[in-house]
Amino acid sequence: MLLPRASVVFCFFATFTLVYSNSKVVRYRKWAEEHPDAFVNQETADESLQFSSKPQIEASSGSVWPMPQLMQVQENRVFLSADTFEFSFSMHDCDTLQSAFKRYYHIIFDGHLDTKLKFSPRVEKQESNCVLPSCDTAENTMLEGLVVELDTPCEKYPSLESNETYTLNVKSPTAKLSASSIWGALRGKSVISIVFMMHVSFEIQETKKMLIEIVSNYFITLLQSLDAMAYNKFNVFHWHIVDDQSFPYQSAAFPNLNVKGAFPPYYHHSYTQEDVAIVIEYARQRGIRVVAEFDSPGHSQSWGLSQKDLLTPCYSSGKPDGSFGPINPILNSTYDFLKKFFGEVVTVFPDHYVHLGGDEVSFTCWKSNPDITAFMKKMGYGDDYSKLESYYIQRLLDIMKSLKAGYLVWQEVFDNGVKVATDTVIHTWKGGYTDELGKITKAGYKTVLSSPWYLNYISDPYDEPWKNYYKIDPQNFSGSQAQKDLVMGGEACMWGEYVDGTNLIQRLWPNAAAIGERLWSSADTTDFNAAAPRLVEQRCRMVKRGLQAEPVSGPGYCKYEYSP
Amino acid sequence: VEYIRLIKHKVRDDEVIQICMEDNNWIERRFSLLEDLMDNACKYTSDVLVLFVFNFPAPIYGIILPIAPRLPYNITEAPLGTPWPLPQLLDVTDELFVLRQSKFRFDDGGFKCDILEEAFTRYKDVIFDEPELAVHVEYPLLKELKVEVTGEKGCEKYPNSDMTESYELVIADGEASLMALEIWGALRGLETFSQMVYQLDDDNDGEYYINASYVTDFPRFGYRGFMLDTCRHYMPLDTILKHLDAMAYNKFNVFHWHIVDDQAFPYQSIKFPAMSEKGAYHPVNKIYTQDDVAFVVEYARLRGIRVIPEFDTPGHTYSWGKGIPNLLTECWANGKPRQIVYDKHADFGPIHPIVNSSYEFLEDLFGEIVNVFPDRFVHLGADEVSYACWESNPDVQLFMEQRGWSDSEYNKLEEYYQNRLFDIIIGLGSRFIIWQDPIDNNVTVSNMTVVEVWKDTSLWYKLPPYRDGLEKVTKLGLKAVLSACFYLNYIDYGPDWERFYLCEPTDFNAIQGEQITQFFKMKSPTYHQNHAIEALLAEKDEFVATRTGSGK
Repeated sequence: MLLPRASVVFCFFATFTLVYSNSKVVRYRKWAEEHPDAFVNQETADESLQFSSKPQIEASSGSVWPMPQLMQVQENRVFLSADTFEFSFSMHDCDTLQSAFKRYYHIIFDGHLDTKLKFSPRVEKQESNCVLPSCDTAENTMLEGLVVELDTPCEKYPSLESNETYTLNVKSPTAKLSASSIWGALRGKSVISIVFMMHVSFEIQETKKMLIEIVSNYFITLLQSLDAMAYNKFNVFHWHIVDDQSFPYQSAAFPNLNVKGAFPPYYHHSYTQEDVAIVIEYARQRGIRVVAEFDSPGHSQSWGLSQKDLLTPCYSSGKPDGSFGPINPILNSTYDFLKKFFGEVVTVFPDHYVHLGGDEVSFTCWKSNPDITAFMKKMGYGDDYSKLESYYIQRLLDIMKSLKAGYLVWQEVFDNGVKVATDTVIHTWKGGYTDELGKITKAGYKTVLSSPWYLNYISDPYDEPWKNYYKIDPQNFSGSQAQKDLVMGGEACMWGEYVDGTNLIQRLWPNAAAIGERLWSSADTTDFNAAAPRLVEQRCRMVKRGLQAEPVSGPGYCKYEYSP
Repeated sequence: VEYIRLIKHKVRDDEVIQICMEDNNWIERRFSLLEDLMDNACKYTSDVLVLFVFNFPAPIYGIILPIAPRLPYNITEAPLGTPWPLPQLLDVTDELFVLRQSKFRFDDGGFKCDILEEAFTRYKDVIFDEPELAVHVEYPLLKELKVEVTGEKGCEKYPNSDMTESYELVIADGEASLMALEIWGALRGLETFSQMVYQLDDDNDGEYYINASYVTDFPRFGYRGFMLDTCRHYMPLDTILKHLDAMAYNKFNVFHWHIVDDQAFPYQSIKFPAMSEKGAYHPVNKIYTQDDVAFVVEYARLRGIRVIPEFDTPGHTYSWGKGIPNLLTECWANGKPRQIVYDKHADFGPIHPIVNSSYEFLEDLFGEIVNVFPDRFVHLGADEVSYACWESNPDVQLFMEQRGWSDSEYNKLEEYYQNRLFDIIIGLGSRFIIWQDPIDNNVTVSNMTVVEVWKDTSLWYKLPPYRDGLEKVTKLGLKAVLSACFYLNYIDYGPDWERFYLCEPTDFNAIQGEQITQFFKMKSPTYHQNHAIEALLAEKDEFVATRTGSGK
């Protein structure tokens, strides 16, 4: 849509910014003329600025976030030139690699990708293009390119089994990135983009991997979030795409689900098949899996807006009162619907896993319904409604098995004693999680931890909440090593009650980066004081790349500020 | 229990929460059912719940995890086109008019004023912000809004502490008229008008509607400010301008620009360029030049927003010392100057209060500031002056002795500094606002001083309730501005706005009606010839009087 107002306002701001920037440039040049010493080289330039005020936590420079398992940096530097630097491959090539080359070329030499996002005066751009006198004489230490060597051919989609290990060796004239799979190469390249910008030579070996996941909500900043995830080496996007309040997923098999279930008007508040495909492709290019969640039998009020008889009618005083509870578990039509619906889901979302929810099933409505009561009696369940829940989940899991899909469920399914297959992944989200992790893994199930990482519950920034996220160790519970190995990783959650496109990125980042490091780096990378300056740098790096990552370490600044 | 700092997050009654009990067992309860456990004495931060159970030997500490409410709330949807903030009198009928972009015009009725012309341009874009799809021929067309500014002041250049913002808006019989005493009221009325025009959610109906309505409006308080701190983090100019837009949309009228502080000095002074050169985060990129400041002042002026800069002294000035040698007090320890003693003082403390050079500098600097910022008021800060550094300095000690002030009377030194500064400002023909701290320190201040009350228990448990601050300030006959319950930097999960919304500025113990009057004096004179307004005012006064009289 062409918005007359928007265009006018934009013109006004654009003009203004131009004038503003120009005057800054003029001033900067003038200042530069008066302070020639500032440009001798980078180090003395920094020293000459020492009279400037200091931020509370000074950013590190050229540090990698999350911390690699092993990183050795030598003193000697190599230089990169945007004109001559080349990415290349040996052995295997694929579209994922090529698009990553393009992306990271821009990140390294342009600083940011999203041209829609403006930055306040970028007068120092020349500096990063290497105008230092030493550049001219640095031919012998010029880094001409990076060769990526993949041990195995590219897979189309990342999966639970993907290997993200990589080794990066930066030496003139050509750096080499070796990875056993394309996914490791992607992780390595995000490291390159960081260290290359700092013109540092170093050697990295990556030896350990861990699964990382992140949940987000259904907003237009999804793609930006995927970028942010990639910058912090998250590898699973858990898409909680529908819930009680709305059903924005456009189903091919049941088109009324979103037409009636999404926020009105539905066409402004739905994810079409094409949208979903874009998200999956965007994620794939970044080595991120997309695991969709279709939560049932609870959290499904919006499903009922289009699917007659799907939800349980609740009764009061012996009559249906017009309200509905969880999905009706006693009708065969329910399971016919689920089979058809999840049949679609597993084809739309290529990942092997589907998240089936299963949390917070309220029994109140089931208890009120006489048909359910009769069914309970017939099945001999007594008053134990968790047996009815178990019955539902069992039938759902059978459907998933017939569709050859893997699945995750929230912890209540396990807590309520529902019998689930041994390969079920249990998602721990409630308080008291150390005991819960012990119980789940003792029973031999794999688990993913989210309890301490509910980023939607924002807290006082003056308490520096990132530290609370950073200090958690998902394997810190009493249990055998075998039990701890069953912890697949963790997942940051951003529930959407108070978040939409206006504030998603700020609320998530860089707090989520703390979780990114916890789940990627070695277990002993726990020192707040060592992490803080690096986190400041990571945050400013994200700002420079066009993301509105908020300040989390008190007063300070980024070289490039975010500007609306 | 000392670490209960914030009582902020109000869990809704229908929220299910989990509580970790002392015995590590988890229980789930609806919040409304918790009262038996809590005796209403529950204090909590966003994620830590501290339950006081009086019949337990010790408080129970636990994590609180609000779970999303299962069902939507029963909130009636507001009618489309309801203005915010709510006008004093708003009478909306069912009669509809439609507006068409090509056929609508603002009419200045011959009153030529750049502020009004600019506002017309702005609001035309604000109102017609979507493509138009005319489908209803049956509704009459609203062709123009006639704006009439009737007062004697005419096209005033700058908004000021005496501005009148009242207006009357009538939309009836296919005609709309906006009447205001001053240009500032016209701006507020245009904002209201722009909010009353709406489109339906239905994409097949692209009409712009407005209901026949009658609005009589004036602000309850004449000082409706917003403070931004551009020191702790440098805010790009674009961000500040966007913020001014948002203020105008919400009828705020004072931009209190906390432009410098300990950490950085981004204001580029004409007389003292070294201050930003050495005191800003970056001498070129992280500063506000004279051009920048002029642009902000102009942008604000066109929106009826005053710009009151804050140059906080004598504390909060660490960054000043970088560009102005010998301005700050050197802090001493172990017989040596410029010593950092953790938990007490840094190497430099507040502005040196005993040397004349300090006051000469202040006169020069503020002489510049009152010219650069056209508002008659300047904010002088004066908060959180730590005496520790002064106490450590032998020169200051000597000065105290000479004056006959004892070791416990450093507030007299603060008073000495403040009064010399006040004299400078008064000499420059300006007026000033300060934070409440000098009042708390029993510093005697000039009766022209406006005091901003910022302390409240909700910010820190050791601070007094804001009511105490208001009571003390108004008892002295000083005008007050309240900020204590409006600290937006402390954020919390959930419907955070409610606690701001419920904070009532006059809710303090005013024994005499006089105090309330003092408080209200910052209010614009809102008297309008319109009888409705007078009636409303009378009602309001009566209301206040009732509250005052009853002592609540």
